[in-house]
Amino acid sequence: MEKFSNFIESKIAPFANGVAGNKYMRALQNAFLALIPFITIGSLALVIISPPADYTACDPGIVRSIMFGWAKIAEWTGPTLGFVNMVTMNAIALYVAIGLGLNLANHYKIKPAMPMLVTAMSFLICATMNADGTLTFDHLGGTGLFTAILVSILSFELYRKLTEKEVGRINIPGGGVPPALLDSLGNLVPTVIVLLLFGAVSQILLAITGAGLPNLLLIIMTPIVNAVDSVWGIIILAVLVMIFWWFGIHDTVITEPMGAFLTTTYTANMSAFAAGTAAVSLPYIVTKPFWWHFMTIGGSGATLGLAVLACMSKSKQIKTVGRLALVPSLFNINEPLIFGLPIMYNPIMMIPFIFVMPLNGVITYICMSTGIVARTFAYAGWNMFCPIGAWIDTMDFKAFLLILVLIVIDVAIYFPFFKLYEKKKLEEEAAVAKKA
Amino acid sequence: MKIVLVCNAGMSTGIMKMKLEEEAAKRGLEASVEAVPMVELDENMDGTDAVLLGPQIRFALEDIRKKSGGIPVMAIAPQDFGMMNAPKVMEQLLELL
Repeated sequence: MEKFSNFIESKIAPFANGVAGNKYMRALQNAFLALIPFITIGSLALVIISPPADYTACDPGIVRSIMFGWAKIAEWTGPTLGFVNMVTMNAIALYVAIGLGLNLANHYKIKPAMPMLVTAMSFLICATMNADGTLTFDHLGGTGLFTAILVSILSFELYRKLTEKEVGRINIPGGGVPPALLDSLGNLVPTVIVLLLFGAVSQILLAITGAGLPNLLLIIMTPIVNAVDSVWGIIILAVLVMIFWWFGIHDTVITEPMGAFLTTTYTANMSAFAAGTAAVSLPYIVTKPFWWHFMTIGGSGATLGLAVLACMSKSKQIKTVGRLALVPSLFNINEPLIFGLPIMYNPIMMIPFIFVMPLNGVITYICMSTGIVARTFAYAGWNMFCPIGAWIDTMDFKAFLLILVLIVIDVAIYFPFFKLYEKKKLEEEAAVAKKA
Repeated sequence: MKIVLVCNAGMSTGIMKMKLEEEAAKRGLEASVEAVPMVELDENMDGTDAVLLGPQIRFALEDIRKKSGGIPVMAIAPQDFGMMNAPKVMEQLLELL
């Protein structure tokens, strides 16, 4: 066992560090971190203006009254909230481009004002041009996400290299010039080079293929997006994530890159819903809310039920951990269980721990692909209590019920393994008590 | 004394932050404890006396140590983190300082 854990610490950990410490990954993570409140606002705005049922189709009674009231509120707030949803979600790729420029500049300790504008404008050049010279705003949202990431990184690096080499640096003699002006005016030539280059590349792509960079990247990325949005995609990703956690290593290595894909599918669903598609027939099933509310119930490994079991344990240690873990588990934080129970390196708990989350994903996938439960178009944030979160994400009460069923299934799978481990712990505790 | 706790999102370390603050108060130490996400660590290094890592990101220990300019950096042991054993963590921390 020790040999094994040494192997993990010396091989897997540096790999995790390499990915998590990568400057682009960190910049992207930071950019999304700043966007969380806006994504939440944008998606809640959409929820408020989307009554879950048409009141005219309801039987007279309390439900009909509520839906009627909801419809009126939606009608009244619709124009404003719809716009809030639009500027937050339908321009998310632009904000990612700005965030990448800012965070990469911070990483290199250069003043962020210019790089932010360079990445944002390079992205706009590549995302808004049509072959016939007109403008499109279709790719400022989710469909432009891959373009925003690629173009921001390339344009930033080019700008940085040019300014570092002081290409075309304009030096203003005198010294009476304000420092802010020195930065923007001094780097005029690199800025022009970057913008012209991206403009030219964009034009060439349009001339050859007739489609802009966002469309081309989407064509390239679609097979991967579709692979993620499938039963096998869920199983492979979830098993990988759980293996990492079983080693006690944060899943960021997998979930961060995966996040770009899950955000793409999620924003596509949201746009489709805002355009009038019914929640049961939205284009994608596996999205950010799908992962964090339907699979990760109580934290990675779907340990919400396990926390309750631990609370009721006769073992002193397990009970202590259970009490510590219960409240955080409601908000999908389960590090106390992973490290305290512990689940990490615990051979007894390994099987249910790795098995339960993919199972939740597969069951939910089946429910959503058959139309039993609506698909996700909003996202209440990963800290939201899962039954409520899933309800908000779909505006379908059956999603709430599905989570309750999943919790019961998860507990049933954890139960025999938990009992086995508890028995072992009780024997250990009894042996210690005897000695003392 | 300023202690910075780091994990991936600054969430699970939030619990440890409260426990450590209690423990510091018990010992009569004047200490502020911050729980921050790993990506925001750089912005929180000013005036920091020690950095503690959640075990889930222990892989970043060497990198953070390199950047910390001699400030003690320590990964909390998994069991101590899981049991939120603030007295033991504080003891180890004080030994480091």
